Amino acid sequence: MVHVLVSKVNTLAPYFKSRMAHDLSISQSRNSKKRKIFDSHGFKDAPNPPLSPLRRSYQKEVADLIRLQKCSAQEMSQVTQAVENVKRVLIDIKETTFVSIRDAEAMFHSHGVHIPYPECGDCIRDGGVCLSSPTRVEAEWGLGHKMLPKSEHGDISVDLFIEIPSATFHPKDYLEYRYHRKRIIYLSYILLALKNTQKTSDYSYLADFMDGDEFRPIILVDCPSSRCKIRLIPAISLSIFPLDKLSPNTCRADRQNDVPTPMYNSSIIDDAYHLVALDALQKYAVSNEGFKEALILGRVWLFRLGFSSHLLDGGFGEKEWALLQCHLVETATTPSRYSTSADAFQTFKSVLNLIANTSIHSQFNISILHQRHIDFNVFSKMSRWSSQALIHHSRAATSLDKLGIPSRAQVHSIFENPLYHISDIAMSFPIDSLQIGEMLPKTVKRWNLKYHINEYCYNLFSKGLGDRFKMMIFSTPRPHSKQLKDALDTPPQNPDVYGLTIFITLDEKMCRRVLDYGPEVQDTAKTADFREFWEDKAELRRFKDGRVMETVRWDSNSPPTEQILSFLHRKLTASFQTTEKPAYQGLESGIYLANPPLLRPADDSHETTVSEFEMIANAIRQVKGFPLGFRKISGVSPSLSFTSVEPPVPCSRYLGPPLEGELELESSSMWPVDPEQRSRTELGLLLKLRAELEATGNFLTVRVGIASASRLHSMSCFLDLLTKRQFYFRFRLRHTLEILPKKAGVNLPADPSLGIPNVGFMHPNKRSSLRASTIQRCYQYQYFSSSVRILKQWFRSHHLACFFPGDILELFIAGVFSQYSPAEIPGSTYCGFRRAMARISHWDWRRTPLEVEILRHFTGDERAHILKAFGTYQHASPNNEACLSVVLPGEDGEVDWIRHLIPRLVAIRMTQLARETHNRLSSTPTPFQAAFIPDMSFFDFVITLKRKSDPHESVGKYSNLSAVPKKFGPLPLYQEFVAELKVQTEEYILLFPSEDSLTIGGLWKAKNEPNIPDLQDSANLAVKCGISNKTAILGLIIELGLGLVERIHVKVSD
Amino acid sequence: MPTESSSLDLSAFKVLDPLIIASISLSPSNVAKYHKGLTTLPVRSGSLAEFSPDPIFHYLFVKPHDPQYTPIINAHPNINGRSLYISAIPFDSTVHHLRALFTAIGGGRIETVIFSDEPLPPRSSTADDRDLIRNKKRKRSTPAAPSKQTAETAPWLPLWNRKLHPPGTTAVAVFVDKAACELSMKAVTENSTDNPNLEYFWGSGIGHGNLIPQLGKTRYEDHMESMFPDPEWAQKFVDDSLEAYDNRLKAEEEERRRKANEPDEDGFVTVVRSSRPRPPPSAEEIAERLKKEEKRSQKGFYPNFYRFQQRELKKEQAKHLLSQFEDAKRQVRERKDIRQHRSRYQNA
Repeated sequence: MVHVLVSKVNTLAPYFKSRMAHDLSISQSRNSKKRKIFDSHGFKDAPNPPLSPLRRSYQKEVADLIRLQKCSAQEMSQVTQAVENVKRVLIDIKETTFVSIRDAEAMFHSHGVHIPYPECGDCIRDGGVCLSSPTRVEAEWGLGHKMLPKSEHGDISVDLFIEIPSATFHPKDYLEYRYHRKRIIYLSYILLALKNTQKTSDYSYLADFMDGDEFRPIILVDCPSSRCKIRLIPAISLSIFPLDKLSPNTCRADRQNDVPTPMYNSSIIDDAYHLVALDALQKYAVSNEGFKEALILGRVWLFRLGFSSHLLDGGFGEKEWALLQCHLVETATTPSRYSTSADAFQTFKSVLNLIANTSIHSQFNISILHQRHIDFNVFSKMSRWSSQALIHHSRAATSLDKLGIPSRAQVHSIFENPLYHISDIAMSFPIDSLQIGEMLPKTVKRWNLKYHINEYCYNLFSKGLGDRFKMMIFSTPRPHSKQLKDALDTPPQNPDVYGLTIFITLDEKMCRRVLDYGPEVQDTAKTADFREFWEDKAELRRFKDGRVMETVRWDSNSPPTEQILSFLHRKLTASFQTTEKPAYQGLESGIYLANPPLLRPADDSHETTVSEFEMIANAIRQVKGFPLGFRKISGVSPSLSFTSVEPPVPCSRYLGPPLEGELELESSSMWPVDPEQRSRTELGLLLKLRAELEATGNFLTVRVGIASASRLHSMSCFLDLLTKRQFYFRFRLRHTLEILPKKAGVNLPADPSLGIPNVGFMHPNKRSSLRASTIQRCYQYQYFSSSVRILKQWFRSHHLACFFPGDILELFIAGVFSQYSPAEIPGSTYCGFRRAMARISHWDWRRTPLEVEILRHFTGDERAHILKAFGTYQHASPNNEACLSVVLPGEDGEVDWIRHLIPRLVAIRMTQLARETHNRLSSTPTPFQAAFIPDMSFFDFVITLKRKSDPHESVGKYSNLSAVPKKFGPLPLYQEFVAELKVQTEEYILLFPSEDSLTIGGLWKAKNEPNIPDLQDSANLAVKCGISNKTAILGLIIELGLGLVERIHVKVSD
Repeated sequence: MPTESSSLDLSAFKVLDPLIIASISLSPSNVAKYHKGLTTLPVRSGSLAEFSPDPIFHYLFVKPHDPQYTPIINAHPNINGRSLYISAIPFDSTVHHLRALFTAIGGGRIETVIFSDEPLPPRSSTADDRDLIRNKKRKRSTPAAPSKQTAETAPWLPLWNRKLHPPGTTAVAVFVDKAACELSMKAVTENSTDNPNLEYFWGSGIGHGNLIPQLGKTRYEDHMESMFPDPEWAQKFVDDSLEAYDNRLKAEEEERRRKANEPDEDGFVTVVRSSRPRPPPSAEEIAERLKKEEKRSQKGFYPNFYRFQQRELKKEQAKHLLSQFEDAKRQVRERKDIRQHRSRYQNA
């Protein structure tokens, strides 16, 4: 038993591996062979792996992940060769002495070497400068461990640290840009040597900045032959400058202003710590395998969140992560904790913990962690937004531990979760750096302008949004590294206009608040500040308890967040000459107010319907003299659980599709056994109920109807009610005889031969409890209902809705709103939808069931059982059908299964469309509506039906509102037509009706030549009668839909 | 809404026109005359007439019927040699359609058509039947049981005014006599795919007396109305059928009881559950029940549940021990006395 479990768990690993590789766009050709072996059915015959305890299974996944990150031996040898070449040139460089810095500059210019650097004043104390070969040249630690980062294009990047000899500097050179000027001179000196040496002359040299920090230029050596880029990073020894004098609140540059220069100071400290950090890293990486692996995990995690060492990407990357890890090892209280055998994932989580719990600097509002009690802050490059976002993400990831989620599931949800990046609202607008620069203080805007603009915007937006947001991510285009041209005399210029995108994660509980409170009127200073910020929006209000406060009240008709954002944008660009409108993604108004709207605003129509339903339920319960008691009266229609796409409307002229309900009767032994007699008894009971309800006079019409339940003779009866507010309900009876034994339905089908698909995809009991939990979730989360509605609308637009029952779509959304994942509860409809799309597009329904962790999370054992049970069942599903399995944690420690059979083609189409939508929305700024435009070219032909009345359009001027509608509208007729058409043509075509049945897409099925047995059983002659006579089938459609079908469009290629 | 047909991008499509229809239609020259022993009969259909003047073809597959299928023989005992088997019939076929078709191609007269998706009628032996097949020999002399149509099995009102055949339905056309059948088969062979010049359109030539309801919208509207039967009719229908059902159950129950008392011809009596009251319980049973009740009543009583009960219990035990000790002491003293008495007596 344990054996099987282990093998099942192991089969997940290759899959997980492939998914990670897909996301990180890393080639995985090396592992593909191995994966195939594991995937095939032949794996069963392969020798069983040795028994290992289950608890270690997650380490295998981690190991797989790490293996993917390593570079190949061939790549490594090429990189090493290039690095050696550069190193050798640098070591053999000749000493040069200049009388003054200007002399040196002039000399390098004359030799065609010019490293761009912004003008920094003429405050150089002109003294002689002596340049000699570097004291130390060290490649980064990853070179020795085959762990070098790769760019998107597959280029490997390697850092080479060059220690500038101490003799180059004067001890006071940390003041007034002197260090930086000499650093440039030294770089020019190196560059000239590299260019003049034959070995390295064919490389191309680019100018870049160290992590985007304009204080520190570096040289990028591009070696096209070995596909690697070497960053030449100057470093200095710790002892040259008194680093304790460079604390962030001191002024060391532009001293006439006396404004603290934290970035200037930290740029010098950072250079001093390059080699120290490298030594420490190399020491721990050699002695400790887990340490190295945790570094890789950190790199992957940060990459997926979009963080890097670059200033514009948050200023926290792999290097800073490594420093934190060193800090952990150095300060560990118990030496064994981070010993050589320490687990990589545990170390990874410890670093997250450390980030989550670092103290925040009171003045600069960023995290601080001083290594070895000196003035080197690991987080110094971080901006306020990135600091907040990083802490938020770390807390979310570490909170999984507190929920008691097993490690394997944690690895899964931290590294495989596709939901991380999706924010609630994305706002992008062009920034004119010249105009916005005017608003910034003079001392600030000279260096790293984009960074300071981001900070300025963050201040503005965080103040405006207050507690409505949880985090913001700023995305700015990174400047490309420039080609070093000979004697080019142009200083680096900031591009004037660039696009800034702000991704905002909202607090879903706060973001709908209409009234914002300001300071009390007595506090004059704060009041003035408030009024200055909110301008004419600020209002003084007196409250019931006598307080008089400044407030801002937002219009309740549109979401307040959107109003605030447009206000803030106006405020930001008020002084600009020309302003463009910002582009938003995720606005509620984009969904409801677009033309045509994606969703009609529900307002309170759902509530009205529910209250009408309650009224009917009460009326039914009060009926006296009914032979059986009513155990439960429940709504079935999605309109009654707030999840219907179209908000329910009263039937003014025609009867529309009814709102379905269910009457559950008390059990009774008097029901006839014969199904035919049972349906007659049902008819009798409903007739009795009808007579009683009609007598109350509360309804416009009460009717009992009959419909054929199946192709067999049994009929089903129902009771139709039209309330006085013209809501049309239909109730069906459900008695205990219909309730199947529990084992046969939703819970794990122990034996696939039971024929579960015939029973229905869900147990009726389970369906009602699911519906109840959906309603509860609609009340609990602000955006649950609208997310479900928009997802249903998406399925509808792509003509897929008829294949998916509403319950399954609701579960897709419920999975996104789960609290057992590091992702936040969505704070906008857009976010809920995007995450559901991400989830569906990453779901491989052939290999895994969709785990929807509502109520609780799955334990490790349960997951193993799920995989095992899934494997057993998958073999039973027929070839041309796909089985979508969804697993839910049940109440008393059991696992609930929902299995839904759909044509394989439809399942593939779903995944394909979801991927398209996901990629399109996440890559380029596409309008949200574009995701809902169906691609009709998928179909072979399209049937359009005649359009009659729309229940949502306004009633005509002179229509009689009090008249009781008696006739059915076109929609129920269309539905009957589609249902019959499906039966008639199911062998030849696959129909995709849109939900309003106005257009029906059709695909010709591949000829499978159905064999219809002859009437003569002895002869058993198989007659081929399914020649795909396409015109005859089209003729059938026209004939059957006489008066309904308007035209048929056929694909031109046909 | 995005699903509106006007906003859909149908640039890759073309509305049905004669060219498209001609490009996808299956002309008779492309269909074999014989297919697995069946003869192909092309029939023109005018269903796409509004899009194209050219007719489209539907293909029927016909062969002489070999009635070995027992239920059919039971239902129609005398069709041997005068029936044709037709496969791939159109979904809207009726007896009238096939009659008109065979009349048009010059075949014989059809008596009845047996569709595979319709329940077979019970075996009939009416006078008309006998008249029709007078020259045939009757194989069985006993007439079949008359059909049992009671209120209990009374049919529901039909929900559709016209029944359509699901795909894969086949039909057996029964002709009035063998000659008509042979003539029809010959006509089919003559009008097969090698000679598709018959100007007959499916559905034409049906007599005006045979009202066949129209397909399409009106049919669905009619269906919607017939879903709601008249409440009075429904009430009567339910009352009658449930009453009949109850009566049948009662009769069956009575029959069962009657049989319980009567030995059958072998002398056996069927044992059924009796409805007589049980005899009064015996003294042992009463004693047993009392015992059980006593046990049950004691179940909830715990003598040492409260603290004071435990204390009292301990006191009782201590008292008991003390009294035992006193007894033992007394006995020892008595024995001592007796011994002393004896020794004194001996000494004396």
